[in-house]
Amino acid sequence: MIRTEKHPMAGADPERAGANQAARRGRRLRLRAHRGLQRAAVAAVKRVFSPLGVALCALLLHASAALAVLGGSLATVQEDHLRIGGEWRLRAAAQPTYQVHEIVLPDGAAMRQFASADGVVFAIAWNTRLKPDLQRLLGSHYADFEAAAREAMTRPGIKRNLVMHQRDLVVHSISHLNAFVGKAYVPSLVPAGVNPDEIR
Amino acid sequence: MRSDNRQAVGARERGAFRRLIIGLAIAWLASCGGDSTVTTVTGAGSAGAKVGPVVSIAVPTGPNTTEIVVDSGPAAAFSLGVTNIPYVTVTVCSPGSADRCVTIDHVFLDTGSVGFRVLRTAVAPLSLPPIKTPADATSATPGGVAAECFPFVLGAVWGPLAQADLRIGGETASSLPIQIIDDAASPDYATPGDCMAAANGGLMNSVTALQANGVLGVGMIAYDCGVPCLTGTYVGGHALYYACPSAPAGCVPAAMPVDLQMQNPVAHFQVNNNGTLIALPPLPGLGASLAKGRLVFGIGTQANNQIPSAATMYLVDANPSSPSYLYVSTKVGAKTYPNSYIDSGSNALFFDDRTISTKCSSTTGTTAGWFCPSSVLQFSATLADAFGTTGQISFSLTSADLLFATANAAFADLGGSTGQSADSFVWGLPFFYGRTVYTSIWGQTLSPKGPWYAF
Repeated sequence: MIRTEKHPMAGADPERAGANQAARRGRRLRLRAHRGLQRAAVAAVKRVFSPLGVALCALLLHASAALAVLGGSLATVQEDHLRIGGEWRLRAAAQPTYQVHEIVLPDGAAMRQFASADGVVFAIAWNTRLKPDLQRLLGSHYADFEAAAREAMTRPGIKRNLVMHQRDLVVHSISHLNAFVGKAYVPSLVPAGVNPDEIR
Repeated sequence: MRSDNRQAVGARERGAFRRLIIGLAIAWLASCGGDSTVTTVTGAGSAGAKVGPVVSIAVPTGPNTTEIVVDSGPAAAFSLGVTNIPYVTVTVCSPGSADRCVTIDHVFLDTGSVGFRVLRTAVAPLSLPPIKTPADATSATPGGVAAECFPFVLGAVWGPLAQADLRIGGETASSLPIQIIDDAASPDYATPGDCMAAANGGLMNSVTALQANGVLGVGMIAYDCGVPCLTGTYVGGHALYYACPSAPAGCVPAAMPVDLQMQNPVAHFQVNNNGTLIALPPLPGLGASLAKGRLVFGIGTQANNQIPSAATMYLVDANPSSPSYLYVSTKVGAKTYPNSYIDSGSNALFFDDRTISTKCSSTTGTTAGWFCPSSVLQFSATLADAFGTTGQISFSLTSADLLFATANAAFADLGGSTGQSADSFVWGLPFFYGRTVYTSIWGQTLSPKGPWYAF
């Protein structure tokens, strides 16, 4: 989402005007997104008629103020969908120990969140037209990412490819024209027996 | 920068050349892709600074061509790992003017982006008319000066759009929207918070950060953004275009009509506007201190840009809803990389192969991922498009430690890791050495229609 309101230099009138416009746009999108979400949730109940699926739908139908995603709860998946809109679906996971939630946007962009059986998002992956908002997606892990990014930026030159492993965070990211592809995961949260290859 | 520095670079090259002639020189001519001529001069480098080989290819020539140089950059300051950056020289003029112009060297030639972006200091003598956003109630876009926040994987460039005539070789793109990258010292417009977030590690607003005076994006699309920019709804990601109704603050995300967006300059040339070919010479194993090649505009439009019958054409997935949008596929051994691309703006071959050591002594840190094998490794890869065309590509990798220990700036054998289980094989600049690579532009007149690569 556009974060004009969090601009550290906000205060000039045009800035506030921009924030208000962005907020209005956001509300319109949320209304649309919510109707789509309810439909998706009903479909999900039909599709995943398991205790986990029902719990997930309960989460999806009740708004949560939770922010951030990586390392967060399944509620943050819902928060993301409400914010972003698009089509939400459960993708087949390679193993029964986790679920893959995918949000697909009309421009073809896809964002995936990998949640373990206890409802914790241990990985995210993206294939998007716009650069994804990693500050939001990485949540509490963003500080580690930023530290690594700042270190990388001390080396000059355009960066089109990033590999980082900082403390308990792994990020891979590439971009080409308007196609951004990448993933991030928290090794300590990855369920036992899950190969990081499955995160994509 | 501009003409004075250009002469300085010329003098350096001549000096290096004299030293090479004095040293033990071996020169040979080899044929490369038809009538191409490659010259390699290997010098022993007598007293003084280390001098590596200078390798050049002198054809094709003509008004639809210009020279490419791969050297140590605009500041001529060696920086570890900053190598394999191809540069061209361009001339920027006030629209319609024959004499209000500046010539700018060391502009980064990038097939991985679209549009001409230039540091403000490089065009300071010019007064270029700004591009304005049309006020649009639906997207809540105010009228104002248009600006763009263009992000890379790390870093971003920020600055307003302006109109200019861009001349490269004998070609001109008239009244082209270009981006004026705001320098740290004199930003016209405060950088929006969302752009700072998009930049992650920081803005690229200096010659040092960019390792160039500008970026010439000649990728395979004609303009740099689709649906999200047309509607101004940048949901799920960072905004690209902004409207700035008042300086110095106050830029808000904006809807941007296609014709006002950053444009592929090549698509605006009069005749040779459907793509490019890049010809670079083959390199010795430990690289070259200077490699010179040719950038040719147009495909099949002139005698010097015909596709050879022996070339293979790889069609790129053009469906934006496809997970392999704008990609082709690469297979090395048993492993397939479905998201592969050819990019002059990536400075190595980047892919995931955990059997190759990334334990390099010359580069450290959490984000360094060069390959440092203990011996030279040979590979055979298969490139495939979504329509059944395949072809073999051989390449080799030499330890980045060995390469970076030379004084060279161009390396054909440099590779790095995209990280475990990444789906991408990035055919960066090493792929271009010893080849003539055709990159078509999607939507331009061409048979078959782009986007595709051929080589």
